[in-house]
Amino acid sequence: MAARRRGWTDMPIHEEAYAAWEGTILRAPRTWMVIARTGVRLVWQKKLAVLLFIAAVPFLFRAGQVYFSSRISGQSFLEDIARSIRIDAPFFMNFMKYQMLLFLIVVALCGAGLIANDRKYRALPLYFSKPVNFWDYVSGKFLIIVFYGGLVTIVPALLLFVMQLLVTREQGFLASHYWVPFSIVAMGALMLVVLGGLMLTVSAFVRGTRSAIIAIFALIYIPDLLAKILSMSRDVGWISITRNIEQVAAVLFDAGNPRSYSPWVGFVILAMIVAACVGALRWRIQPTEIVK
Amino acid sequence: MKIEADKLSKWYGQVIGVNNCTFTMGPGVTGFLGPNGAGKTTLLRLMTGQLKPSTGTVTIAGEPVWNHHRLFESIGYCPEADAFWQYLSGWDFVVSLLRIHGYRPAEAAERAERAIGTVDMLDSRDKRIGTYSKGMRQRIKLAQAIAHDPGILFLDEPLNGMDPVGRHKTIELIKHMGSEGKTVVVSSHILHEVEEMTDTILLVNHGRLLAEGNIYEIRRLIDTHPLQVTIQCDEIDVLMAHLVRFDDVQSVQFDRARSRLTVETNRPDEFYRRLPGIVLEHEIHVQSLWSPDENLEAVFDYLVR
Amino acid sequence: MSVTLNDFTVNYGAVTAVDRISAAFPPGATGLLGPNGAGKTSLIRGLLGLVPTAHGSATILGRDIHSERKLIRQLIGYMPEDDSLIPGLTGIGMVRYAGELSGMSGADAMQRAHEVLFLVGLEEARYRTVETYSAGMRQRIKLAQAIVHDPKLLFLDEPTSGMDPKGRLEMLELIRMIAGRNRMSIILATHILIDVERTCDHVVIINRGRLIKEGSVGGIRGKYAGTFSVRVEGPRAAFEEALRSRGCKITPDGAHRIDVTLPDGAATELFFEVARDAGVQLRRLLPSVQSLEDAFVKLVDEDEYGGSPPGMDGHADS
Repeated sequence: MAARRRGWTDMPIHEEAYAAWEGTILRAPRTWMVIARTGVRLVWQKKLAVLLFIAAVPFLFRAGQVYFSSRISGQSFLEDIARSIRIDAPFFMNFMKYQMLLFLIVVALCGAGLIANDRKYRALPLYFSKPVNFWDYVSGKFLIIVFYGGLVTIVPALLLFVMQLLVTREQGFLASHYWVPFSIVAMGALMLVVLGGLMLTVSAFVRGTRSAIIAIFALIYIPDLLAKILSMSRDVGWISITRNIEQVAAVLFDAGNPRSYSPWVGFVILAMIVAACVGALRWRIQPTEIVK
Repeated sequence: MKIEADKLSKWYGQVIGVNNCTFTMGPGVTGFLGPNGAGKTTLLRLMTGQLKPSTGTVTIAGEPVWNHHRLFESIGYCPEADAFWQYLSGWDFVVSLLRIHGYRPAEAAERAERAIGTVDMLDSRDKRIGTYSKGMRQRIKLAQAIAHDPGILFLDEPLNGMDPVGRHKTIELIKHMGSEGKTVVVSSHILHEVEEMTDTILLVNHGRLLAEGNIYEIRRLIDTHPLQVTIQCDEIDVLMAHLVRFDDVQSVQFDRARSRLTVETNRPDEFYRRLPGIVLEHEIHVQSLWSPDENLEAVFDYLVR
Repeated sequence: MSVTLNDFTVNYGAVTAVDRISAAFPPGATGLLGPNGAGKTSLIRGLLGLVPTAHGSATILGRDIHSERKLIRQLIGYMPEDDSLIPGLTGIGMVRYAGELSGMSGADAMQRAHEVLFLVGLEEARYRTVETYSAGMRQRIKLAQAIVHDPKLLFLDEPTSGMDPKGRLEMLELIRMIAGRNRMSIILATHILIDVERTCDHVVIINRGRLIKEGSVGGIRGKYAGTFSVRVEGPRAAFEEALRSRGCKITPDGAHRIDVTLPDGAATELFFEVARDAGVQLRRLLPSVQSLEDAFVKLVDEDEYGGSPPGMDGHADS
């Protein structure tokens, strides 16, 4: 309580009472940034460091290939192998394609609980009573997925490209491949928007983190498997999300069309999935639960 | 019907839930009080036969509760948890519990109707419990507890989540059952409401019995603690001058703004006996007189450390 | 005025939860009362923009709730009724996060989070993750996250639910302290009317989505009308007999107290005379004023049944 002493009247008295805060509040705070930053920090504390380490293995292998292909000469059989590794646009596309599974694991581990846990602990009224709206909330959460998803796709692919520039002996590589980094970013963005968006949506609809992880893998790999089985008779790749991504990516990397139908089909289906996710999130993320 | 516990203890592994409690609860309403984690729920489970005592006994009407199925007919229990049978309607819930008690369909329906009517739930009896508000769940649980007309009722936080109207009516209902001679044990955190229902309490903390009986009696037993008496009157200076002459008066607090005097006495009986004489002799007009220590909150606060 | 409502209406689909309420909440502490389903929570949610307004308008701290929603949310704090937490964070992390979301800088939010956690009594638990908190601690952290940015107006929805007697008193003490210097206005929605009597100066009562009464707590409880609540120790029968013979009316109130109505012209001296002559100790002598609960129950009954008091049946809770 108050430390009142005679003769010390000009001393401030520190009462153990509610004290007002004298600082100033920022007008129109960027709450999505706050949500993303806190989320990234939280995921990092949890578990992801080890996983990102594992995710670096394929990158190191590819990096070895890049280095190898430019350095070996003279010894005939190694030279044959080196010549067989062509560092061209599809090389980067294939790297990202094979990162898909790792990417999904990372997205699932960092994204599954993002909305599911908030709903489980009824955090939404806390968010939405602050200057946070639907888009602030969803984009904040989405940026968390972008950060970690990007770390295993766009970032290593760009690093590989830079490395190739540094070590290559091929004349005019940059002149003929200047567009590849843009394709890398575009393909990464496509993966993030479609798969990250799907992850967030799944997270908003299931109760726990574990069921969210199971659901996202089921949503992606069951149609994939189905497409593989049915492909004996006809090409139904469009039912598989990953195949649609691969088809659009092939256009981005100028690698030909792997399917028997127009790449627009794949693109339109992906766009529809994203639109459906946004609609579903909009419907599901209400500031309050109306039915108790 | 009496509930008697004798040296009752219950521990889980090394954790002690209830520690050597001996008490008796008779007909009428008893407020069963204690902070969170005091062992109230464990005691309630022991008294309702859901748990086996580690040592000691708990009996109802002289019969040990544990493993005594016939006794359950005379016990009604309203648990605190309400995540129960979400998919049944309130009606089916009450009827099926009556059927478990062994009533034939016709009588079960009749009793359910009466119990659900008593708690004002007839309008919503056919809706699923999952759609009920918290207050409605409390009431259907209460209906379930009273439907078989038991002599003993254990109500764990029955008012929780009810609105003021529901609280008011439930308090009336509990008082009524107490005055009918049923033994009603009510746990609650809202001491003010317990006070409205009864003066008889059982107070536990850390698994031990702290106090049982009438709160005025309990207050009287806390004699190491002087009693405060507040008097609001027109001549506080005069009254004070006459009160402080006696050595049982330990201190006087003056509230001139509200024309109030708060006296601390360590011999309340003498103090109260002498007060009318002083007031009448000096023609002091007293507006009100009460003791801030003689309420449940003060007793609780003093005993629960 | 901290809040003004003008024909304010909130619908959930076809159900009208708040039906054209016009009212003004003065600065200070105001209790928002009503039976279950009266629309208290909907009114608060509508004001915060958590559910859309169907009709009418409202201002909070003089600002329109539609055009200045984000700014209003920076100026108010909200402690929801639900058992809400932000999972994964420690106590300090959650309150700091709440501060940053309200527009405080990281450093300010951190410093202030420590301060309010001390205030609500969570200083020892502040480095634990919030999922491990007990019911009482969850209430405290909900309060902390609502006041971290020092709002001008605080909405509290059932702030003492799930707390034990000591916790409840501490929470009420905190609320009084926060409201104390009139820096922060409070709107308290609760079913526990004794809490309202202890913290609020003003009440707004709604039923079935409509305003039925607004005014000061004292005004709604009404005035004393010649009846006293009395308790004596000693030979009570003789005391009661003597009171009756002097024209008092006695009704018992529980096992130990009686309500006594004095005859016209008599004063409290009568009690002391009778007590002295009967040799009893007069331990309690309080003018009976109806409690806020009694007043509330009457008002709601009047609203629903047009004045005729119903029995146990007839009241629907929905």
